[in-house]
Parts: sequence; structure tokens; C-alpha cells
Amino acid sequence: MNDTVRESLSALMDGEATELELRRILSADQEAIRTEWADLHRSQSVLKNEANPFIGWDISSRVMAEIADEELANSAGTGWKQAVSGLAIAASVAAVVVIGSLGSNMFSGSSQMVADNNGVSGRVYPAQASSSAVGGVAVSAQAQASPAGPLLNDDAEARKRFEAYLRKHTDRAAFNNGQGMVSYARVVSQESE
Amino acid sequence: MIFRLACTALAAVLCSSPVLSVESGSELLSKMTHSHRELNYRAIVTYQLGDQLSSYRITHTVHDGKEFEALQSLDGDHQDLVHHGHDVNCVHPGPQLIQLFGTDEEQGFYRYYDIDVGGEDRVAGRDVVTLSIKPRDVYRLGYKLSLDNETGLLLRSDIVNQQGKVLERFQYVMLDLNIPDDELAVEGAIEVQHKDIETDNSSPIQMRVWRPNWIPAGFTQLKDSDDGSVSMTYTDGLAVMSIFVEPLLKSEAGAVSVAEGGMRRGASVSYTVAFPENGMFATVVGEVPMLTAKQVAKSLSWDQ
Repeated sequence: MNDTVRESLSALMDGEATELELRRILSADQEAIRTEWADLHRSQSVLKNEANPFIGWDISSRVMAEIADEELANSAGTGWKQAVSGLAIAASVAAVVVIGSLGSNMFSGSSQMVADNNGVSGRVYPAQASSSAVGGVAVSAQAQASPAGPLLNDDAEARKRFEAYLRKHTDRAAFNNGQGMVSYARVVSQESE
Repeated sequence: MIFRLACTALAAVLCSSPVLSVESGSELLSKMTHSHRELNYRAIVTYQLGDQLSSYRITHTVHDGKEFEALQSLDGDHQDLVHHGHDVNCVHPGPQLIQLFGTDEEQGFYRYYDIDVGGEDRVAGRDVVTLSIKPRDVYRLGYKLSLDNETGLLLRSDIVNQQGKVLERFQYVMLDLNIPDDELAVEGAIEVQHKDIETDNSSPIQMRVWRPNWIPAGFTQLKDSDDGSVSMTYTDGLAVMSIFVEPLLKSEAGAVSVAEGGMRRGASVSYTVAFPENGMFATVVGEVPMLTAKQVAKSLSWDQ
């Protein structure tokens, strides 16, 4: 990460980032950005002498993983509804990631800010920005590909390949997963369907 | 002198008794990885996937240091597998990861999972101790294991996803530890081989020209898994995943139609990605979250 990006990030933290700086941040290496962002917050809270139990929290990967799972479950339907919901998901993910990573301040009030992710209803992640020092930052979320692609369970050709691969995989897995020969039930039960 | 000896003996007993009665999670896990290969037993085990249940008879014996194992399906079509001649002292990389770092719970395997020893329970008429194994990152699944108190055999295993939903369950319903160590004759069974004794000299080993650029931390490549140029397998001790690569174009059949996407069954998932510029497609298969399979598949690159 170069100094320009670092400065933009610092501006974002102060709530003073311009649109151009935001774009620069979004197109930079995400892993590095995240680390830098966490570091900035850590040093700030040290300066302010704040204790923060949420430091080091990064919910973004967990959110991505959950959406990857849910995407697959929902991918049976096609058409415009899916496209629209995909867009909405992308927008909400981007919002959660950005707002979520605004970090420490927003978690100050309530202890129950993180979504109870077990609910299947709606795609609502109650990560609300409280009226704290961090100003609202407008981010234009672009529709991006969903974290997991389509589920191919209905494709006969793909299923046949999956079965063949699973058998070969189990030849290795059975001796390494601590379960032994029982692992082959995964292959056998599939073939007898 | 006698008094001093008696004192030492008493102290030794006092110190050792609590250690003996409570085993740590790593000791239990370590025992689990080898007990199922060392004992003679016959068991009925059920495998549950959603609302489907299937049952199997498993027979395991050790004779002259060699294992014999058979898995016979008890419902539907006959589907029988046997495996024999496996040296009981041959330790595979997965169990090694668990056994190696058993003493240090912040090393290796134990850096990626939180292990809680739960309460007592009963499975297949036997007293068990339960272990709850939770992943510390999003790239692996969780496990709820019930281990036989006496032998350490894994009598029940639930694989749970990141949201705590059970994806599949193995459960023993009957266990008999008093069986002779003779091999069982199973007609029409498929012979299972494990890779490191299979040396295929007929085809020249090709150089692998592709590699994944991302693998979750803690996964080790199985050396015996790389049969030439078509596959690689990784394990972290509990989770195992394999990468398979095939050409998109097969000479006689023409182009294979490959759509990118995932496939899921129980705890097993696969994710396929096509690399048209290299004329290949790759599939990652394993008992891992879909996210992991996808990220690994997408990270593949070819030598130029």
C-alpha cells in the first residue's frame, strides 16, 4: 500500500474522505487496507487511552462466509428477482463492511449490535451507525458477483463428476480425518440413491 | 526411611489421580486418531444426512500388525468396501498434526480450533465423553464428537457449519469389542487402496504446472496424494480437501461443458472453476465451507 492510499484512509477515518479517495481505497488491496485500518484504530484508542473490547474485530469475513452459504440455498430461483436481490445483497454487504469497519465508535453503546445470524428472515444486518463522531460516509456500492456462485446440484453431468471426485477425495480423507473407513459412507450412500 | 517412602508414595498417588481421571481435549483427540486402527471391533453405524438415514456394519481387526477393515451397507443395494494390509504403525499426516502438537495447545492444529471437553453422555450403550471443536476462522467447519471413555473410539460425530447447523452425523448404535482377529470374507467388495502404497509405474510422472495461491492457514499438503499432475490434497487434521484438475478438451469427446459453481451434499462440497486460457478446469472437493472451496479454486494459477 502506498502513502496516497494511507492518507486517504486516514482522511476516511476522520470523516473527511472525498469520493476520489473512497474509490482509491476501494480499489486498493483489501487485505492491506483492513490491517492498516485496524492499526489506525488501535493507535487512536491508545492515544485516547480507551479500552476497547471490540478491537481486532473483523466481521467482514464472517459476513462473506454466511452470504456464501445463503446464496447457494437461494440460488434455485432465477430471473429478475434474483438479480435485484443480488444487487441488494451486494449493497448491504458493502454497507456492512464499510460501516462495520468504521469500527470502535459505533460499538460504544449497546452490547448487542451484531446480528443474530441464525434467523433466516430478511437480509438485515443491524449494524447501525450511531450518531457518533464518525459522519455518515456515502458509498456507492456497485453490484458485484456474489461470494458463492450458483449451486449446480441439479446438473446431472456436474453431479456425476462430483461423485467421482468425492470418491477419490475420500481415498485420501479417510486416513487423515480421524474417522477412518466410516468416511466412505459419504460415497456409498450417494451411489445408492 | 520407611516413613519417607510412604510419604512419597502418598504424594505421587495424590498428584496423579486427578490427572488420570480428566484427560485434556488434545489427549482425547490424539487417542481418537489411533484407537480406531488398533482395536478389534464390529459395530453398526448410522450415517445421517438431512432426513436420510443409512446404516452400515463396520468390522476392524488387526492381525500381525496389519489392519483389515470392511464397511458393508445394510440397506438398499449391496455396497461393500474392504481395505487390508495397512500397516498399523503407518501414521498419516492428518493424525500426525493432532498427535505432534498434542502437548502444546497453541501450536499447529490447536491454533485453528477451540476445543472444549464437555460432559458425560451415552452412545451405543457405552459411556462417552463429548468434545466440542469450534473453528477460530471462517475457513473450516465445527465438530461435536463423542468418544468412548474406555477406548477413545469415535462413537458419534456431528459436523456443524459456521451457523451451528448439523450437516451430517455418524453415530454408532452397537459396538462389540470382543471379536476374533480373523479377516472377514466379504463377497463382491470393492478394494480400497490408500495412496502411498499405490505406485503406478505405467505412466510417467508428469510435472505439475499449476498450484493454488491460497490455502487456509494450518492446512498441510499430503505428499502421497499428488499422483502426477492431476490432484493435490490438504488436511488440517480434521478437515480434508482435494483439488482436481482436468483438461476442458478431451480428444475424442470434444469440449466438456463446465459451468462454474458449487455442489453440496452433507458436509462435503465442491466448487468448479474453468480456466479457458489454460484449457483446464479445476474442482475443489472437501469437508470445508463453500467459501473455502471457492477461494482455493479461484486462486489456481499455471506456470507460464
